[in-house]
Amino acid sequence: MQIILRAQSGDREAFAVLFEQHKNLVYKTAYLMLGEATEAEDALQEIFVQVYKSLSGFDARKAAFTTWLYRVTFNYCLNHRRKKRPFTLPLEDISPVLKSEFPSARLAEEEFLQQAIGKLTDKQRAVIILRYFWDLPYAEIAQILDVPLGTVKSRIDLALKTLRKGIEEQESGRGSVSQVEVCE
Amino acid sequence: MNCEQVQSLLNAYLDGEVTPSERALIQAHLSGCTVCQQELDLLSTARSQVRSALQRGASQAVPSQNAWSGLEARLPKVRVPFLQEVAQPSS
Repeated sequence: MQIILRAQSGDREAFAVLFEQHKNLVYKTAYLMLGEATEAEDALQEIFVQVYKSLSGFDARKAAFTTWLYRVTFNYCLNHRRKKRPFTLPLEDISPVLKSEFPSARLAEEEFLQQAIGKLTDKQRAVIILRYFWDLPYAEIAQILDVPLGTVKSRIDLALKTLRKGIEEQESGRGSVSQVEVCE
Repeated sequence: MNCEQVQSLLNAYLDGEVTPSERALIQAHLSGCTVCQQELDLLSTARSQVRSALQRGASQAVPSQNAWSGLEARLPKVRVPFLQEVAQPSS
C-alpha cells in the first residue's frame, strides 16, 4: 500500500516497483484476451500509461489495487477486441521441449480447447480467465467487470456449456473448432 | 430440488459459490441421483481441462525484458490527474 501511495504522489521509482509487481498480471491477462504476444506487449504499455495517468483517482477504500488494475486491463482488452477479428492461442508458442513432454492426444485436446476459448464471446472469455486462470471469486469478478453477480454466474455457466459441448464433440471424433457454438 | 435445479447450480457448487442451504440441498440430491453425479463428474473434468488449457496457453507469456524502459520513455514527465488531462482542450 505504501508503494501505491508513493506512486500516487508522483514517485517514479515507486511506479517502477508497481509495474514490476503487476506486469505479469496485466500481460498474461492481455495475452489470454487478445491472443498475440505483440498485442499483449502493446496492451501492457498502453494500460500502464493509463494507470500512471489515472492512479491519483484510485481509491483503496473502494477496491483493492489489483481489482482496479484488472478493471483497467479488461476495459482496454474489451475495447480493443471490438475492433479486431477472433483469435486463437497459438500452440506454436509452446516450446518444442514442452511439447515433447506431453502426449500428442493431450496436446491436441489442449490445442482444441485453446482455440475454443478463443472463439467464446469476449465477455465470456473474460469471466473464464478471471475464474479459471486467476481463481477469483464471483464477487470480485462482478466488481471488475461492473456487472451483477448473477451475470457472472450465467456467463460462466454458458461459457462452460459451450466449451463442454466442444470437448464432447471432439472426444467423440465428430467435432471441430468451427462447430463450437458461440453464444451469449 | 429436482435435477434441473441442481444442475443449474453445479458449477457454482464446484466453485464454492452457493449458500450453505443450497449446498446441503445439492449434496442431499447428489447422494441419491446418479444422473446428477455423472453431470458433476463431467463438469468437474471440463473445468480441469479449461484450467489446464489456460495455464499452458499463458505459461510462455511473459513481458519483454525492456518493457519498463519502453514504458518509462512514454510516461509524462509530470503526472497530471487523468480527468484533468482529458478535460484540457487540445492546442
